[in-house]
Amino acid sequence: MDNSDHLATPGTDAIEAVIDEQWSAIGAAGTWMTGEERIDLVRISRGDIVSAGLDEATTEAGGLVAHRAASITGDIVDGLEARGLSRERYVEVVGVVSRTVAIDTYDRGLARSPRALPAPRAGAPSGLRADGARRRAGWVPTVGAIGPPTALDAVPSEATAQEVLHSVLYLAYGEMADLHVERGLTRPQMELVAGRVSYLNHCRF
Amino acid sequence: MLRASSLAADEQLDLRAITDRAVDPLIEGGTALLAFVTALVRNDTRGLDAARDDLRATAGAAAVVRASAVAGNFQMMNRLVDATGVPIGASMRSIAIDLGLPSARGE
Repeated sequence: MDNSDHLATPGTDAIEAVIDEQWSAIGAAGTWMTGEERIDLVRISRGDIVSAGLDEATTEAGGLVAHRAASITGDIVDGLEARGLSRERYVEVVGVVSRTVAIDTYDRGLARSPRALPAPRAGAPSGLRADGARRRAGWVPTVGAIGPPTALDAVPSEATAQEVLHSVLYLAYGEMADLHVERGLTRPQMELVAGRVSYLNHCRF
Repeated sequence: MLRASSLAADEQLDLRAITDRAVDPLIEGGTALLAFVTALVRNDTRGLDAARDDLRATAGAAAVVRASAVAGNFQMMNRLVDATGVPIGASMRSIAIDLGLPSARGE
């Protein structure tokens, strides 16, 4: 059931267009995962049981990112790698799961039911590696210093998708320094939301 | 950013409201916003419907849309930084103290 018609406001078209495009793309092969595997990550993000398809380490990583991200440690990521989950594939898991949770949260806020799973598309992962990506201060390879905007650099398609979604849901990176920007909420109101969400998620950053 | 944006807007702010719902954040519509995003992130279906109605009545439909969008964004960013080991900076540790949090990573 969709009760959101009364919530339609100017400016939401850009959000809807980006989400629709990204949701569809989750069903296509990524860099290290097939479309079917990425759709399994959507199921895991929603707390559904995935009976087949994904390997154990990827399944565990998806569940951790979706439901217990604040409990993840460097040792856990090391352990996942020892069980066959490469750092680059792990980055793709983080990207797909975190975007799924973002989109489901947005829809829930607007009183919408969770959208249907993306349609799977045939194709093989690209295996594209980011030039210059290596381990630095964080647990995953990055091209430069690790930070929120660069954490997914090892998988450029995920880094780009995250940045685009960030720009429509919140602010573009270039707008972050504008303390007077308004988008339905004032900047202090937006930051109040951000702070509360981070607190509820036990986010350590 | 919350503290900085409040200073820039010349608004009063009580940061403790982020961790303590009994505290008034002193930002316009702040109490309704906090109730809405709390129900949203906790997936409290019944509470969410009431909180959405209250936020819409208090701040308008556009506020509901943007609050949902910003909450979604930080659901994403929180997972991203926690899962990849982005180090916490010294400025974040000082904010953690303002919020009354007992510890922060990197201490």
